[in-house]
Amino acid sequence: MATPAPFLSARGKLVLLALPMLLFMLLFFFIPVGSLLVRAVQDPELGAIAPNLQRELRAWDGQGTPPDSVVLALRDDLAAAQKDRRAAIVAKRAAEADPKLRPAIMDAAKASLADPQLSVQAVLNLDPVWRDAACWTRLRDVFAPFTDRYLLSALDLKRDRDTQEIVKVAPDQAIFLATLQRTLGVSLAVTLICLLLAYPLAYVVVRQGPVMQALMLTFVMLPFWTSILVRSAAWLVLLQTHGVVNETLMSLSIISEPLKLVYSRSGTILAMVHIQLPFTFLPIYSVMKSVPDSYVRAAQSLGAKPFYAFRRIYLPQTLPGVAAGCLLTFILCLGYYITPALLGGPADQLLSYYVAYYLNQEVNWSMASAVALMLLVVTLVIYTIYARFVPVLRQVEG
Amino acid sequence: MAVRKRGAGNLVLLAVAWLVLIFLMAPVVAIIPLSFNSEPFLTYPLAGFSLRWYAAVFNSPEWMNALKSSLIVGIATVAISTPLGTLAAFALVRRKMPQAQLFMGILMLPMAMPLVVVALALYIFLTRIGLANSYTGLILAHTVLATPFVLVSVTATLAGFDFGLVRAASSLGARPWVAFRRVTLPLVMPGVATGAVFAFITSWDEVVVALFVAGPGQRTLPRQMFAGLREHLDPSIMVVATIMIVISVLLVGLGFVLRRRAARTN
Repeated sequence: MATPAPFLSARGKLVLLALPMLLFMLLFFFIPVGSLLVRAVQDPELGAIAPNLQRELRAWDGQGTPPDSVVLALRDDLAAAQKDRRAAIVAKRAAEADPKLRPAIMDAAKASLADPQLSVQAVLNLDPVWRDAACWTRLRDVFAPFTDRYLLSALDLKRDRDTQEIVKVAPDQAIFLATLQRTLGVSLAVTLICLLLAYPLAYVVVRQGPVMQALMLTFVMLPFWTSILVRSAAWLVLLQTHGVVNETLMSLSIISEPLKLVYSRSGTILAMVHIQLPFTFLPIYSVMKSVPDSYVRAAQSLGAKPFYAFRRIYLPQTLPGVAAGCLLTFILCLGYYITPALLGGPADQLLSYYVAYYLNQEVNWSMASAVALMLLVVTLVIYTIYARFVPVLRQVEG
Repeated sequence: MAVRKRGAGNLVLLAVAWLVLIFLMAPVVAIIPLSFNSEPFLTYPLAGFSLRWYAAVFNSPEWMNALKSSLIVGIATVAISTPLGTLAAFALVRRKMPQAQLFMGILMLPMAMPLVVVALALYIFLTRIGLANSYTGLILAHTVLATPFVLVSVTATLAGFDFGLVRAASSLGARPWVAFRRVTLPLVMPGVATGAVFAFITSWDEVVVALFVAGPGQRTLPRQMFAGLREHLDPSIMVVATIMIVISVLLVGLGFVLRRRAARTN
């Protein structure tokens, strides 16, 4: 019985099976994350509020005084914006380029709303700013549809207002590199503490009988599958000024005054270690399970001291697990938001905090995207190392 | 002498291990009794035993709406992510699949990506297509996070699967669909179910994406809890925490049972 020629090759069929997930992820993960790249250099917000003003400003070459059409577009768009109470957004953004622009824009918006037929000369007479050609040029730059301002800001840099050269921002505004450094520092500290705790734990667990091993693994897995929010909440409750930890230590007379454990770096790191420890432990444990004891015994029977045998024979064999566990923990630490938000003070927030801050408080999507990109790049670099180190897939014949 | 020294070293190691295990378990266990406190304090000793905070939570429309939202989003996430992840797993475990390692690395990326980056990207994207602040948007967002867990879970099961069985069925005359339904599916079902459980837990526990993407109409339990933690701490939050712990533990227990069955059938 001849089988009909297959419509698709075997490989084609396999690709077809994977296609729905690939397309879904492309549409709802890779395209949205990729558009952050564009969003970080794009500035559609002001264009949406004042489209005519943006078009006229960009049509003007920026030399000398602007033509009347720019001034009239300013009048009409600010009046419309003032009606929806959005003129303040324009004023605030313009103030970043020149503080004098903020009151001038607000006054112009109110005056234009009151009298929509205001003449060009009347608008120019509202504020000395409007008779200053340099201010119009700055306003034109504010309305640029594409800008490197946010990416520069995320690196604590800016363009000089007059020379347009890239310079460092004032030290009191330089927050992002310090936050990046703090993010890396906290992640490294948590990773090292997790390693110090997970390695001996895994070493002990693999040496237990099956029942004891199952019990110990339950102690690891039960917290592991409890939500991060619940565990952060637990630490918040336990570490409060009059929480369980402080009350216990005081009743034991170990301390006389409550320790400041919440809204602090130590509380944040403690909770992060608690959450990340299983991620460090599991890869080390699974590698240790496959390392036979016989090599260490052979080394010892050949005269190696126990510690020497451990260091030269056992430790190197467990390093793949250590690398996998530590890289995973480090990657996941970089993105922490909830735990520092609940347990840290203002000086303990990591990069994620600023993404949320610019999105929710400042409603500045471009700045949020620029900070997110910084976080994304650091994560991708380490994920690439991780993906090369750790085999993620075991294939079968067929 | 040497033996005694090693014995002492082992005892120290064992003690260290148990201290670490207690450190892991204690905070989770310690908050459960606080939900039964008769007074609105979150410390020991308990003033007395009471179910008043449980009554408060179950009679609160806010918490009950949050529970409803969490269940809707969780179940819909499972319904979409399980078939997507399972089909992809069937392709990626085969040696004939071109570039399988690369695809696997790419498809698992959402697991390693900082949640705020995913949340921001999805928020901007969903706003553009008009799905921000909607159930559909939140479900799509949670599906992005949950599908890699299904993929990993099913590939782990399939790594031990003998595709020769399917060929045997075909050579005995079974059509592809029949072979799949009668041979493949029963054998891999426990792995698929484990993946579905983990997909549900991913959505059930998720707070960052819900904070960014969901509107007031889709406040899930974790989101409601996060708001409560920042406003006022009272034992009703510990009640919700306890419920979340119990449900996670039950589901993971179910996952383990299923996985053990999967291991046995293979």
